[in-house]
Amino acid sequence: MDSETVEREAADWFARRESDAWTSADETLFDEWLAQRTAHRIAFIRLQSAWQRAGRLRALSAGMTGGVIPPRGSLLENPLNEVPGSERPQPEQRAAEAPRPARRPMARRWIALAATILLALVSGVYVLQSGLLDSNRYSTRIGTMESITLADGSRLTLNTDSRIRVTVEPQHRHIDLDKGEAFFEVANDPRRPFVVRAGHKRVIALGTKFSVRRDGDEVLVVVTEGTVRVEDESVPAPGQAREVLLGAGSIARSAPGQVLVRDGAGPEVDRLLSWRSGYLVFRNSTLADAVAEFNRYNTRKMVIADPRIGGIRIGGNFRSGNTDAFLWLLQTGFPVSVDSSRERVVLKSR
Amino acid sequence: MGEMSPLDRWFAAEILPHEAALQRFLSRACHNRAEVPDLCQEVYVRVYESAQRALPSAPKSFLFATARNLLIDRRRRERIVSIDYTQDLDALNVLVDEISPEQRLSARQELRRLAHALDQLSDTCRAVIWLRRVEGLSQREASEKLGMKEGALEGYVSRGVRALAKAVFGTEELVNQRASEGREKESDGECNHG
Repeated sequence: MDSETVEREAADWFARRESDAWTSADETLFDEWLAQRTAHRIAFIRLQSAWQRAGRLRALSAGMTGGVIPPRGSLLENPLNEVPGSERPQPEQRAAEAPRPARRPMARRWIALAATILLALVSGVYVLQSGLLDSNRYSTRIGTMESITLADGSRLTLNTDSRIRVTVEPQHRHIDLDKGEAFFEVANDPRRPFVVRAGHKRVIALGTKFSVRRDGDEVLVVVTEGTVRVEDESVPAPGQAREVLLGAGSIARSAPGQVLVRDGAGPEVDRLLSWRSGYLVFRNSTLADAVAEFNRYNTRKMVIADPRIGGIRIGGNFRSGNTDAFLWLLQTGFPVSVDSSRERVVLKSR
Repeated sequence: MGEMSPLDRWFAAEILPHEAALQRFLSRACHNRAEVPDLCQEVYVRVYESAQRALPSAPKSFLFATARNLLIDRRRRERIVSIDYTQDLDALNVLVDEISPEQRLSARQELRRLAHALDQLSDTCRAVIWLRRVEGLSQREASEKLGMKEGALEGYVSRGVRALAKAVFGTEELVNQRASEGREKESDGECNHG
């Protein structure tokens, strides 16, 4: 079957899945279609991820009234006039007669507004007082990941079992990491610091890439690009600085009141961020640590019944959802026996 | 497939962004441009199936190596070896290295392409995508607002998402070409044609 037919089928599935009439019977048929050929799956992945990335278009609607489709060509018109923020359309001007675009002078206002927003995006400096706002919660279930593009163009990837709250406002960009782990690719904006709060720690960046992971009070920050500042909001121990600067390749582990920093940790940085491609990478890790890591991604938890085996050192790359490969390795390469039930997997010494 | 699997995400993050470069690569090697999308699909399938067994550590090089192997296989199968063919492949070797380290679109470029793609859609399709993707209305809400049946709306979503995917991943040049060629295009030569 040619690629165009496959793509058309995939697009039809995609559209149908979004409807409220989607049933579990449909889901079964869909799964069958997906499994039929790799080409099906790829076509679907491609459309789904394009749709996700098209979320970036939301930046264009900032400051606009809902339900009004701006006229063709207005979205990317060259900015010639400056429009004060007060020119925003008032809610009573709401014109729900889509798809026909509203006629002038509304249209001109749209053009000007969209142009101003584009200018803000292009210059990266001027931020329309009212534009580019975002306020949302995002969460992931165990074993899943989510990529999100924020209104300011920053991207974030949410790891397994994580929850964040996002507030993007004209003066600041604020993320609360309630639990779990996220990787941030921060759009550069010197006027609006990008602040991630995780427990007692505040991680502050302007334009850079880093991840923050939170396990209760323990916070792990990994920086891959640029510099971030980590601040402690709890009372510091005597002689302990309240804040540290982290450069690219640095890792900071912290508990309330203290931070342990490691610089120039390239391979370790890669290892700690391998989850973004769906992998867990262990290098001379203890079995106990590896099991804890796997358990973040799987609902059926592994339990070490025998403390003696917890200290076994292991290494390797594993798909985060594929505990079977991991268990197989343990059974064949180590004195470990595995006892699986539906609820959990018990590891014993053999 | 509610959420994408890690492998799917890997594919979307590491392979799909090179689609435009891959299409350029394939269209250079293949004189019949109409074949490019099918070749592209076949390369993707090979890469994905191979990644199921082991994830390549250098995804981009792997993608282009796969494309090159595919072209070689095809010609071998067709048992026609033209002199130009070897020259082509030498040229391709250079080409791959020249494809800049990062062809990924910047946020701004991507937004521009998306907005452009949106504007290329028909009025109704454009309105549907705007309400669904930009304003975040559900399919039902959007269909009520536009006064159309949900089934009809699905047709527009289906068309729209394909256009968006071309804008995000594909090359505009090829998109336009294919659009203007239409479906009834004449084959202008075989792939192994010098």
